[in-house]
Order: sequence, then structure tokens, then C-alpha cells
Amino acid sequence: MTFLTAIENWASDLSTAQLRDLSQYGGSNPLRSALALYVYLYKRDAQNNDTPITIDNTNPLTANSWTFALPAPDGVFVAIVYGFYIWTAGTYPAGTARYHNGVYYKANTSTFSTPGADSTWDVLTDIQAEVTGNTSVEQTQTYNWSAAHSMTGPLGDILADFGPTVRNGKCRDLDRLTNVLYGAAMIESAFTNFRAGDYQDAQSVIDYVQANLAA
Amino acid sequence: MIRTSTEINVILNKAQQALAQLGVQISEAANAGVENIDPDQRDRIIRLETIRAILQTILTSDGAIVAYFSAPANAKKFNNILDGLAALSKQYSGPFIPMLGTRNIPIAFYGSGGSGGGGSGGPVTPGGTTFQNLSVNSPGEVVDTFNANISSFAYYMYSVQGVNIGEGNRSGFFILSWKGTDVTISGDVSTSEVGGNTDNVFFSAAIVSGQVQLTCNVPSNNWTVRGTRILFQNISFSSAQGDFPNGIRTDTSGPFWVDRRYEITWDMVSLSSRTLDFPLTYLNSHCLGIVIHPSPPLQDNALNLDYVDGANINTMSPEGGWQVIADSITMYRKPSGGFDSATYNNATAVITMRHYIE
Repeated sequence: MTFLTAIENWASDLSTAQLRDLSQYGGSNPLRSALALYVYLYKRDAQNNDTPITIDNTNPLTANSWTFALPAPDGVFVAIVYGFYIWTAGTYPAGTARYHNGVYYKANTSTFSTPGADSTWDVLTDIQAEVTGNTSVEQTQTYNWSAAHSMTGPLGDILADFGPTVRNGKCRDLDRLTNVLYGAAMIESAFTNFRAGDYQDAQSVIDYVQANLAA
Repeated sequence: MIRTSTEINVILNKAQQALAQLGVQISEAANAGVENIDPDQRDRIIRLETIRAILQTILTSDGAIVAYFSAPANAKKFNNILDGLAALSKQYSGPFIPMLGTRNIPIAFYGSGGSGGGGSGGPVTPGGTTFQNLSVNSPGEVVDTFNANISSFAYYMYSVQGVNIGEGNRSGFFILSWKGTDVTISGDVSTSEVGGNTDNVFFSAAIVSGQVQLTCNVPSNNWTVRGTRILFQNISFSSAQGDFPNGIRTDTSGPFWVDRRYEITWDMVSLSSRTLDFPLTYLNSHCLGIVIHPSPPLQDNALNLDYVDGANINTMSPEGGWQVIADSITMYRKPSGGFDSATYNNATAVITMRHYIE
């Protein structure tokens, strides 16, 4: 299945935000109750360098959002969602990964044993390294966008200052109007690049906004 | 409406592309030291601001035209706005950029439109759409169908294969162009015939109910037609999902398998009497290639990694391999390999759908 995510629910002080799970469960996809989710999140810069962001994965069976510390740079965030099927009794070929009682396992041989009961299952210590590409685990990488700092920082202040200059529907300060329009248009341009899949362009534009317009 | 929906979409697409690219140009110029008072920079900024303002005025958050401007009574006013938008967008053009509304729903995959004629030859892929009809009968059959409104031209690469006595194979490419209900094919360049003749095998096209229909005309029955259609407005030579973060890819030198960029689908299939009960037609319609991992593993590890491209087995172990018989795949070994059928009965195999990159 394809997991879908989005960054939403920014804290008022922008200290945190939520990576939300918007995936469709059921139908042709597994039920949420059949999966244990393990999530990685990265801030990707304009040179495609990734900085890991700590995600709390302690609630894999029911989590539908993950609160994380929102870094200062706006722009592109890469999330990787791994959906481990919850182990049920049966015979599994070598390489099969399953979640059982709070632990992620991978069979090192064909086995019908309960994970943890004998040596046929290995405990996964580095999920990303050990199950990426493993076809027994549902997994999707998604791009996510956040421009919260650009929209609510100094540009927000400019917008707030602009409000009183409008009287009877007419703007009395064209310089302020230009500042508002310029910043807002550049943020929209960055987001449009993101929507178009031009992630590096999107990041470059939002970097410019943060460094020059929102500073 | 004064303009057709296609013309309106083209202008809106141009404006969206202009909005995206002007921001990039402005930031790049500014980073290079260009001041806002520079006439060109000023022009870019004003165009960016104006295009955004117009788009926000005429479109809803999901990209539809607001009711006021789509009303016939306001058609002239809307047309004037489109004139301005087209002029502001100048040289910019490109495919439709989806509106995501107020939620940052990530983009999982970009397609260029699925094939609706003769059955799909595989999933929509960045760069093109495969199509196929494995049994085209005389005088001809539709082999590809798609919405005419999503483009005005297409590039085709194709292969035709005859199975009757004296018939051979040929592959080539051509360009399709259409406007309204008029459509033409030009530039059909192909290889020489091989293994027999392909006389009177040619392609024709028509616009039927807003759909482009590509027909392969043949002089006899059972011709196999396969190919790829490319709509350059939608082409992308990189995965929209992009690379995984650095540090977790271990196979960065080609050739290599890149199934990890896509949704991974797999099936468990029973291996009974050494024949996988897995219809070949399913493979043809769902994947570009597969990897088969039998379990328990075969004695010869080389047998555990073969891939299938349509009906062709592309790699074969010296000791054995996979063979397509009728609508199924059969695993076999040479007699000298000492095949022990008991070892493999009731085993399982994992089918992994993958792209193979040179």
C-alpha cells in the first residue's frame, strides 16, 4: 500500500508540528489494526542532504500522527513509513519481517515459531537498514511541506502592520502592500514548485524567503 | 465559454508553471546580487505577484474555476482575464500542477495517463506509458486509448511481432499529432523486418468521443503489439517519490533494481509440482519485471534471482531457470542438475515487482 502523510498542527510558538497519517486503510489496503507503523522523518535541504528528526515510535499500533520538534528551516521534509504486519500463527519464509508484542522481528529461516520463542527470528535493531526493500513490509517514502516559519514570522508581522493601512478598501501604503505581496507570492511559488515535484527548486525559493524576506 | 476547456487548461497550466519558475528565477537572481530595482527583476516580481493574485481570484482552493467566472454571463470578463494571464505567463509552459488545497498531501506518484485500449502493458511510469495488445487480428485492433485533452501530440515507440509462417518482427517510432477531431501520424521510422515480413502492418489513429485511439492494422491474425507512449508535457525522468535519504542505498552503481522507489506489491504463490500457478497475463498487466525468490532456496543460488519481462525470461542460470509455458511460469533444472522434486513441492515463492535500470 502507499502511505500518505502531511505536516500539520503547528504549535503556536512553532516549537512542534505533527506528521499526520492520511493513508487509506481497508479495501485493497490492509486495515490499520493489522499494521504496526514505524516512521522516520528527515529535513531535506536544497542539496538533498538529510537531517534526521526524532520521531516517537512508541505507539505503533494506533498512532495516526507523530509530534516532532519543528526545525527552523522551512521546506521539504521526507518521511518514510514502514508498516509491519502484526505476527499471527503460521509458517513464514526466511526474510519475513513481523511485529510481535512491541518488538520487530525478521525470520532468519523458514519458521512457524512464535517470534522470540527461539532463534529463528532475529530482533530488528535498525529497521531502516534492515527492512528497506523487504517485500514483507509495507513501506512508502513521502514528501511533506512546511512553510510555517516563513508565513508566521516577520512576514506575518508585515501582514499585521499592513492591515491598519487599509481604509475603506483602499491601501494607503503601496510599499507595505508590495512587501506583503512579494513575500506571499514567493512562498506560494515555493509551494507550487513543491506541488510540481520540483523539490530542490521549492527548497531553494523558501530558503531565499527565510534568509532575505522573513529575516 | 469563449475559449475551449483545453485552451483554458493550457493557460492555467502556463500560469502555474510561471508562478513556480518565476520564484526560482527571482531568488536565483537575487542570490546573484541582482537588486529589486533591476528592470528585469522588477518585471519578474510584478508578474509573480499579479499571476498569483489572478489565480487566487479565479480558482478555488482545489483548482476549479470559481462559479462566477464559469458562468456564461461573465464569459467575456473571464476571457479578458485569461488574455492577461497568458501574456503574463509568456514563455512558461508545462503540465498541470495539482492543487493540494489547504492540506499538504504529499505527492506519491506522477503518471501521464493510463492506457485504455488493448490492455495496459504495465504501470504508468515516469517517462512514458506502456501499452500492448498481444493478439491483434485482421484487419486491425485498437492498441492504445487515452484522453485527447491531456495533450496535442504524443511520441510512440512500438514493436510488432507476427507468429504465422513467413511473418517477422519490426520495431520503430512515430509522432502523433491532433487538433479537435483531426489526427495524423508522421515520421514512422522502423527497423528492417527480421525473421520474416511485416507487410501491410501499419498504425492509424482517430479521435473518438474525446479519446485518442491508436489502431494497429494487420493483414492476418495474432499479431503481438507492444510499445510505449510518451506525452512530453508529463514526462519525468526521475521518480516523483525521489530517492531515499542518503546512507541507506547500498546499490548505487548500475545496473540495479529500484523497486524501492515505488509502492511494493507482492504475492505469495504456491509452488506445486514445480509450476507457479501465476497467470502470465497478470504479470503483463502489473509489472515491468519481477524477481522470484523461491523458498526454501534452491540449491543453486543463481536460480533464485531471475526476472521476467513480459513473456521473455531475461536471465537464465547455467544450471536451469524459469520457463514460460502456456500461461504459467515453470521452474526447471537440467537433468544433470539432479532436480529433486520433493524438495520443492508445496514451497512458496515471493514475486517482487521491480524496474531494472541499466
